Amino acid sequence: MFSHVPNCESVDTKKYSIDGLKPHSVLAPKDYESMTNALQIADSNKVAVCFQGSGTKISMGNVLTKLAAIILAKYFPKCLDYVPEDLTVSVQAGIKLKDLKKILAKKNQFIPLDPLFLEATVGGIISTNSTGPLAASYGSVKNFLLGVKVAHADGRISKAGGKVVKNVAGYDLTKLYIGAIGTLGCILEANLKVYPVPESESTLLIFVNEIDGIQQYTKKLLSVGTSPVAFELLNGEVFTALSKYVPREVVEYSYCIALRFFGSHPSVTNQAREAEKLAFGHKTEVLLREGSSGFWESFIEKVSEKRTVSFKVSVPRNTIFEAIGKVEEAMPFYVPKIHAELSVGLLHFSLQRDLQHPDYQLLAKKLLDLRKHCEEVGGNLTIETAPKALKEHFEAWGTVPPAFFLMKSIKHKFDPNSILSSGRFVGGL
Amino acid sequence: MKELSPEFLQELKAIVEPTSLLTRPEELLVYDQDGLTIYKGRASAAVLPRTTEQVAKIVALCNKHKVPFIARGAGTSLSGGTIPTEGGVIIEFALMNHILEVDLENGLVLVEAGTANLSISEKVAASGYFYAPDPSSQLVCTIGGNISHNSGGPHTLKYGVTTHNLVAAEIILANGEIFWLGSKAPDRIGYDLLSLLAGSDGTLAIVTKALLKIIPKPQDVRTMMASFETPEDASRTVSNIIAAGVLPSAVEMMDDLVIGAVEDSIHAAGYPRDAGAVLLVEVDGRIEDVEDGIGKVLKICRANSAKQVKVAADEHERKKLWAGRKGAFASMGRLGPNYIVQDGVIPRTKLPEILAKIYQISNHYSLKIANVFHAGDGNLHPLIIYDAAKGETEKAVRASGETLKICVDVGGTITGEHGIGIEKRDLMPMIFNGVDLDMMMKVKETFDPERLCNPCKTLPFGSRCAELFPSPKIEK
Repeated sequence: MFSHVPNCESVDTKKYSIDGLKPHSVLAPKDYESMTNALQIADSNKVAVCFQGSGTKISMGNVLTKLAAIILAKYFPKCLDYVPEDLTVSVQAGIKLKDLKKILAKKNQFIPLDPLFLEATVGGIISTNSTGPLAASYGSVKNFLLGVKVAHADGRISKAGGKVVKNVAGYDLTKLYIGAIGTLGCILEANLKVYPVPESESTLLIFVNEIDGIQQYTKKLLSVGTSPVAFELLNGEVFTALSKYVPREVVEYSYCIALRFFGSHPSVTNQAREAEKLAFGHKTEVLLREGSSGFWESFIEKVSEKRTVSFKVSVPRNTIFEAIGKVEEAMPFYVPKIHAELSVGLLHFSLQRDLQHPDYQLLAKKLLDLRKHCEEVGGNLTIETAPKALKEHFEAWGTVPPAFFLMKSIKHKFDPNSILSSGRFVGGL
Repeated sequence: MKELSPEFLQELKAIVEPTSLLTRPEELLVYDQDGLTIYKGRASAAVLPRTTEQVAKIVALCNKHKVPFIARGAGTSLSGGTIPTEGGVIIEFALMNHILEVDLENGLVLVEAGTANLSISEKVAASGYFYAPDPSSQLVCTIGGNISHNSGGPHTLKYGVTTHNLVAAEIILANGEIFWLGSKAPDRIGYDLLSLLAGSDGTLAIVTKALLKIIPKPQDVRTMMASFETPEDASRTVSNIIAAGVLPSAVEMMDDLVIGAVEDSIHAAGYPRDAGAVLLVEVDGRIEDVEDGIGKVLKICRANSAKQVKVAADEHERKKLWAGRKGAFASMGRLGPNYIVQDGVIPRTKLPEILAKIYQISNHYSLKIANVFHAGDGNLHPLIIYDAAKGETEKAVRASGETLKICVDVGGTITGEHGIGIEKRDLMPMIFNGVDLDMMMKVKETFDPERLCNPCKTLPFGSRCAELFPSPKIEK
């Protein structure tokens, strides 16, 4: 069906599958025209496609209801326009975050996005609304994404937003594509806001055994004028793997609280010291400059390792400790790696135990209880990555929001034949 | 004005208190215009509900009778966002102005849509918090209106615009259905419809309540003023500040016309009258970072031949420096009887080039153009001064359109924070092609298929809407 699309590489399908579904074709369009040609063919034949960047989160969401072709972004890795003095950059969606970071670093700038996978493409990060510890201060993708170019199901290309940092011209469709996991179109290009690299940085690590202590500490910290750019809780499974940065004797502790500070050198040193003083009586460690940045790089690397069954919890931040407690209570058998953005209200956990088929039913039951709790406090629990075997027992997104009928209508208008990531999103969109 | 049927009015009367329904021409006159005084409409009725349920009933009634409805806060829209060009019912939010909850643990406030922007910061100030978006009209402008136009202000350079500070909202759809988008949790499930509402000019749904982020006040704030011989020197300074890696919380610029008008008015801030341009720069954060940042800014100002630099010594001086900037629009009466304010945005590096072109446009049309704007964001506010009584309106609209065209030509956009409204509706094709607009139309059709919710704003719909005078069409 896709064999006659000009300028489109047909890739060996052997290595590709999504939730166990094998595509008939794997396509790598070499330009936008071949991308839109492929989409038109799919749309007119009503066969489904799925977009894939680096594939780091390809098992997010529900099992696809159909899949004919995977469309790759491998020929769209370019940085298109970078004006450091404007603090903006335009890239193709297939550029990997690690490559973009390198380009920006040459001009002493950075994008404060630190999702778990450096291999991830910018298009993938936008589509999955991936964030990391820096969300505590810089917010999520929504805060940096200025505009996008998108290929739609009918083969048309539209743009939304622009290149400038303020823009209220028309409906802000840019935001609609964030976290939509490719169900409304394929992001081709993105215009992003970037920031100057801070002069210096520091990290304070506090090791504690009880969650109660952390809660009190958090309140004190926010009242003394320190402003951490990351405020992360790591459980033992996570921080003990960071042996280069944490003292050997801390293995006995249950949690590590990591506070990261950006600013001038006196500022970050003083903030770490002030925050340390408040933690009087606890075991602490201050990391400066490369020690600090190295810690966070290592954290990302370790926490993303073998991440095959993982979940994200989003709750009001004053209920985050309760959520951590619930996860620990429900999941000990699975030896979860837990980390949480305390000041945001996000918690991530991944399971380390190798699971066999019958285990998934029991796991699903526990997850449903956890989800019920999260939804009761106004939040949610979603699948970040999981095998099909679990998804058969546990829906990826949870209760559909009250505005679901509007979402359904938008999906139908943007993709009437439901060929884009079919069935994968909320409520089977 | 389109007549409403007696049955409709009877039913409307049953929803709100008798004094909250306005139908006499002298009562409706005030709703003819908002902050955009160049166009006019006439509402068929105005209602002042007190509750969400009342708003929902009003909207459902309008839907039943196919009567357009427009939500209105303080009427400060600068793009004509609330002008009733098609008649219909104005839903005025003056009575829904309560702060319902302050939740410091989650850093959130829950407010009714008619709450004035500044009253939120005032309410939470004693607890050490503030609400970041700060449009110049913040004393009166409402949160509902701020969401509608995705309003910004000087401090959005660091803290973002309304959409970045909006966490959830209670909305009413065109069919009268009430529901919430978002919650106190950070990540929402499904498409981000809430962000679509921000900046939709109130054309998708009516917001009745909003959950907003409040932020701990920075440890230290310092504001400085620098004056320059020419706007070019000042704008080059802005580019250099950004390029040097300093991230101020605000960088504002005013040119000589604005300085003169402000200094002649009650908002006089002590800006040097002989300057070609003045910059206001504010740095906030940790004491050490503020010291460092202000030091770097001072150095850059001097390197760009600043005539005078002055760092506010205390809170009183700081407020005075800001009073001039905040009062700049209000001082424009000193320059002429009417003005159009524009809102184009450009990449910051293009500031010197674009300012020079704006002065060329001013010369070409023999109209004064005063410039006061958010230089750090590249968000320009040229004020085109004219005298409608002398028949200068059409000329002013043309000059105004040209200031936008030059922004678009360098990769910018036609509005940064004032919205499209009716003012720029027909200019949308300058930046969006048919496919882009079609995608937006799909969103409009999803939310408001009958086109009753603030009709004929934002999207160029064509023949179904009243023709505007004067036509602001600009060649692409």
